[in-house]
Amino acid sequence: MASEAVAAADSVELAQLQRDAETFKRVHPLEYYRRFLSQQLRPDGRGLERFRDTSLSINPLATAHASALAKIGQTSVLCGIKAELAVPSLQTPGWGFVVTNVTFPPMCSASSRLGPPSEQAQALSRLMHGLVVGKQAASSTATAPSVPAPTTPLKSQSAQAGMAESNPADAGARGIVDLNELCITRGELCWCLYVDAVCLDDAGNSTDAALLAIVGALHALVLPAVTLDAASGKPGFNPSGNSTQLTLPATPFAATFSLFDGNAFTLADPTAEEEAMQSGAVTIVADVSSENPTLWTVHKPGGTPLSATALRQCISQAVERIKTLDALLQAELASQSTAME
Amino acid sequence: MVTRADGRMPNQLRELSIEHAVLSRADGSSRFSQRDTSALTAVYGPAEVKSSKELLDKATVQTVFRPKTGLAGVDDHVCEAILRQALEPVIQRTANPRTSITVIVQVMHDDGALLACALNSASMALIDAGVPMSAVLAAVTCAWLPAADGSSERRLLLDPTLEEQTAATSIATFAFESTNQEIVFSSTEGQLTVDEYFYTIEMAQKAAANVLAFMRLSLERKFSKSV
Amino acid sequence: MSTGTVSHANGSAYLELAGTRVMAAVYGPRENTRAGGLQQFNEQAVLQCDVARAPFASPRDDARIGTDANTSAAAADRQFATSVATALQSSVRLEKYAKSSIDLFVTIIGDDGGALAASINCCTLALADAGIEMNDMVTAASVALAANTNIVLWDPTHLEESRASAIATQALRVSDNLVTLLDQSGESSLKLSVKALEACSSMSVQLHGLMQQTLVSSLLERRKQQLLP
Repeated sequence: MASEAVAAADSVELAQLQRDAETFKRVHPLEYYRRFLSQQLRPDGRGLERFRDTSLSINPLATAHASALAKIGQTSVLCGIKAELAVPSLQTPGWGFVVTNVTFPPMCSASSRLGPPSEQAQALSRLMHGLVVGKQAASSTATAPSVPAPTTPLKSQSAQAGMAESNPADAGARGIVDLNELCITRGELCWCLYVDAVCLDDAGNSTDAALLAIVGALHALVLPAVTLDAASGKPGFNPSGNSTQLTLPATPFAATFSLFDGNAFTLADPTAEEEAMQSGAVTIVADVSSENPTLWTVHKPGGTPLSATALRQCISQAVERIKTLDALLQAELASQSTAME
Repeated sequence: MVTRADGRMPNQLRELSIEHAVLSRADGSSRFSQRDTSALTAVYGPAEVKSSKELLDKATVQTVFRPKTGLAGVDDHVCEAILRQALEPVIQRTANPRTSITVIVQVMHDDGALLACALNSASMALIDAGVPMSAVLAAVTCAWLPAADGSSERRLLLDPTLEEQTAATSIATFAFESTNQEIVFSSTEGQLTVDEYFYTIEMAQKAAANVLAFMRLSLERKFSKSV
Repeated sequence: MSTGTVSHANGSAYLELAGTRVMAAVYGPRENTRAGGLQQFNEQAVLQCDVARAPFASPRDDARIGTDANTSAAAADRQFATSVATALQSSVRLEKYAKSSIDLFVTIIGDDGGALAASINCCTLALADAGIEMNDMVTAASVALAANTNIVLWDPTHLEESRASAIATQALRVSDNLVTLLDQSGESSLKLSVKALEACSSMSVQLHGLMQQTLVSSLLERRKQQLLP
């Protein structure tokens, strides 16, 4: 009897304490965080350098040519790719198009509202587009290409074979996708990939999740074979023909860190609450497939100043994280291909 | 050493020029040029702020990035966001709570390294407006170019022109604050190894120190004149 | 079907019917911040709904949906959103939440037919998940009608929808058998329409049971998690 009463009193006290903690968090959110961080812990139980559980599922959707759902903790981003036929632009007859977009529908967080895309969405779209197509094409594909006019007669493919292939992509930095691969008939027909990432739930660090989803979907992409109708010259899909998969020579992933309380603390993989209070952030995108990791971008859009040494530390942490993401993608692709067989 | 198309050394910046207080109606203004690349910035504030944007404990920083011609596009909005986020940590925002500080950057001409020029111009205009700041920003752009004939190594060029920028395999822009020379802003395009990245930072840091020295000189001259 | 899919929303749900996938989130009751919302005093809450379609939501060989707000697709979505709001309006006890707005956000991730019915059902689940008082859960179902053969196809796919002579969607408040939304596009005989609505009603009753089960099991799940921190 007596012990039960004590237990009941304890639970009442515990409830009181929890309520107090909740109030403290509301009134002094920063101080609340500082108390945790001084113990090298975060309110969600993670250490400062710990990323949340990450998962990737390939092709969850039937309506897109390829899709991938990336989840980092509660944050989930769904990327779908639709491929359409288009006519290459005059400046780049040997290239296809890729249009990359990241959207945050009003559903995904309490702060995003209806209306034109937010600053965050625009910046993220720009960043992702740059990574997907590389530096050279970034300016030439900013606008959506024209849809092929059905009346344009298409010449036979053999006539194009002898044409000298000047490859401007060699001169510049490559992206994830080699735009040359998207060309079907030089100057006549090419693929236009619409890569759309939709944030379903924004619980912080949507950058990492968006890139993971985009990379996953690109790896899952299978382009159907295209045949030209001899009479009308109209392109059509040939379901029995050889479908192609993109080569994708490199696969970069992102790791984001949040600078907290000046630059006193560096938190890996910030949650939405942490993002709201952070004093700066660094996103590191790198490819670790070769022995020597290649940095694709180190993006620090302002915020608290950071020394080069601190930045170096972030990069080495990021490289470790990206290795696990790379393994995750490989495992998912392997399980996908065994499922297919 | 291979010189560049315009006769500069690889680690040489273009001639800088700063004009202070060029606009009569703005609280502060400055025009910053790196030879042909030039940006004009006007600063208004601390001034009244729209109640929806008012912050109780600090000033609201608003930025506008105007392209040379036409309407602002996605890229310009992204530049706007970058400017705001890069300037916020150096402005002492708590000194003027519940006010707005508006920074308007007008591109005069883009011949490469535009963002760096815009950042430099904005930080000079903020000084001209007398906005309390904890440090001054100095920004520098660097470009890695593919190997020239006869050498196998990629070349690092400071302050690239537009032509060099299009030929580059990677471009990096950095902004440093003046007190500890720490990195406020970093953005890179194209692939770099970790060592290349830090080498770029090192070179940019040295160049930024020169930019900063020039800014100081220019300010000293301006104030000695007015006395 | 699952609930609690969006972490920061007051209530949320995800619904999957083969290729049709819909996600809904409820924010509110909260301060009405839309234009004119602050000036007016409302004795009742305002139920607002917005539908976004993922660009890759339409079936495989269809064109991608543009993100431009002025396209006819966007206008269709607005119409769609109004339909969802009307279907649910009568069921939500708006008088309980004076001066506030309840915002429903629907994202259609994949559309393989019956997106309207799926959206309504998903919103109902999300509202229940948010703990917003309702008279009953509204459930919706759709059928495709073939006028020449007098056939009613239950829960049609996109292909069936495009070949049917008419599509009917009906939202039903199951407990008192009250129809809250009726939407038929295309032609059919009166007899066939009545047959279609009967089909919708019996589907709604089935769905109602399923949705109740989902809510109960998610509630149990949540309680389990709270007991074991």
